[in-house]
Amino acid sequence: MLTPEDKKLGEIIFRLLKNATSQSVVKEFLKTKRVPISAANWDELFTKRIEPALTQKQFTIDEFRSLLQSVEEYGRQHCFLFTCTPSRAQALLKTTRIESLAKELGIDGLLKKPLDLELPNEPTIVDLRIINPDPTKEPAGLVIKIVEVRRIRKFSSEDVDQLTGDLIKRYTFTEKRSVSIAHLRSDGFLELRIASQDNQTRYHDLVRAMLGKISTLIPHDGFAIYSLSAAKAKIYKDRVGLAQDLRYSTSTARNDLGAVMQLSSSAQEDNLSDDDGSMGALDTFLGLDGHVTGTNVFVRIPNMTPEREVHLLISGDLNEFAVPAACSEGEYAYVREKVVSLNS
Amino acid sequence: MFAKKLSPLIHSYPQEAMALKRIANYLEDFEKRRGPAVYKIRLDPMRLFEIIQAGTTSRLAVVVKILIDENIFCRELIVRFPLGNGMSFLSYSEIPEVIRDPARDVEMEINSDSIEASYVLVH
Repeated sequence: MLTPEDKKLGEIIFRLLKNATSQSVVKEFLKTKRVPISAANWDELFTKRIEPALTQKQFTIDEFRSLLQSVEEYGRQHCFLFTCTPSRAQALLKTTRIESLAKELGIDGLLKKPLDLELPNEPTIVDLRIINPDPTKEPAGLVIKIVEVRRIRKFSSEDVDQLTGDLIKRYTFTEKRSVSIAHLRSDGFLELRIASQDNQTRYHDLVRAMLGKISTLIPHDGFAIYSLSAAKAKIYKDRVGLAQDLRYSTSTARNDLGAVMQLSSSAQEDNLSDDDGSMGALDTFLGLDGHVTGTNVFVRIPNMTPEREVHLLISGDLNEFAVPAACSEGEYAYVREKVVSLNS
Repeated sequence: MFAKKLSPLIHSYPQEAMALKRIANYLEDFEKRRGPAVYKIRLDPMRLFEIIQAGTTSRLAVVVKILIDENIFCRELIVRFPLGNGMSFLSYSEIPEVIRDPARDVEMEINSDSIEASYVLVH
């Protein structure tokens, strides 16, 4: 039997999972625990599959929480890449330094146990993990997880005020938990993964706030923006060679006279690179001081049945890419490596 | 050549000499290839960042300030419409809350997402 506390925790974790990922990711987890996965909807998945499995101890609350931790950290995010020298990163990653600074900040407890916060009052660091796969060596990375509540504006209705003739639009605000991750690696990469926004496309303020939030543990001096311009250009130029790996959907380019060119496939499922007319127009545009500024592709994940594609946007700031849909840790890692390798 | 206007600056601002040399080289190369089209150059901050290889946004801000103070570039604001067309303004205060998008012939509410900075040559 589940204790009342575990039952309540199970419900909280389920609600957070529902907001953070897709059913297929949860079902993959259930499969590994030999739990049946058929369910008509999210709620049935919980009442018919997850809750009974927790009661029968087919998996534990801790394992269920680990699933939440892994899925809410990947996908539905805009990622910003910075780099410093490996020696600087390795100095920042010294275990004694991190432990001492965490103690100063009063968050050293997070190194052992993360906080289970649903809707915190202010952006809060809830997890601090030193990635140390080989304890005999220096740490390979540091992960800082921040949870905050965002107020999301949604249009609800509009009326005409008969007295004044004014059109009145009404919006409702809903609160949404958002998770952002900072990941410093010993090779010098600093990656900020910020939960996608619903009403805005720009992330400058969120990036600045996050850099401020982590500044004691990861001071920003010594880091430079890691431009993804080379990756954007390569995805376009090597489109034939990359056809097995990527499906091309949209391309945005700009030339040094400020002219903008936007090309989109006829539908999301089509491949723009199959259209030689569009590609020819873009070739001409890029040939005279034009540059690819944004690209929208689908990355094919290898060895997956059925075939799986992850949507990837490389646009916005120079060091920004986005994975707009929920995905697993492995899928995210594959896409990130693909972006970095295309850029080198 | 327009790029010659930058020569005195390279000496006046030794700390930013490398970045200024890069922008001078860029302008010289452009003018050699495309002649007077150089005066039509319009660069957004990201393109400028790449040309001068700024590394950080604070470094970009320093170099842009020099280029504006020394009348090499001036800043304009572009309101970008959904079809990609734009309308230029000299300052935020000039931008109305609602603008008619000429390409679609509809009124459009302007928010910060649709405004971008660009830099044009002073000549």
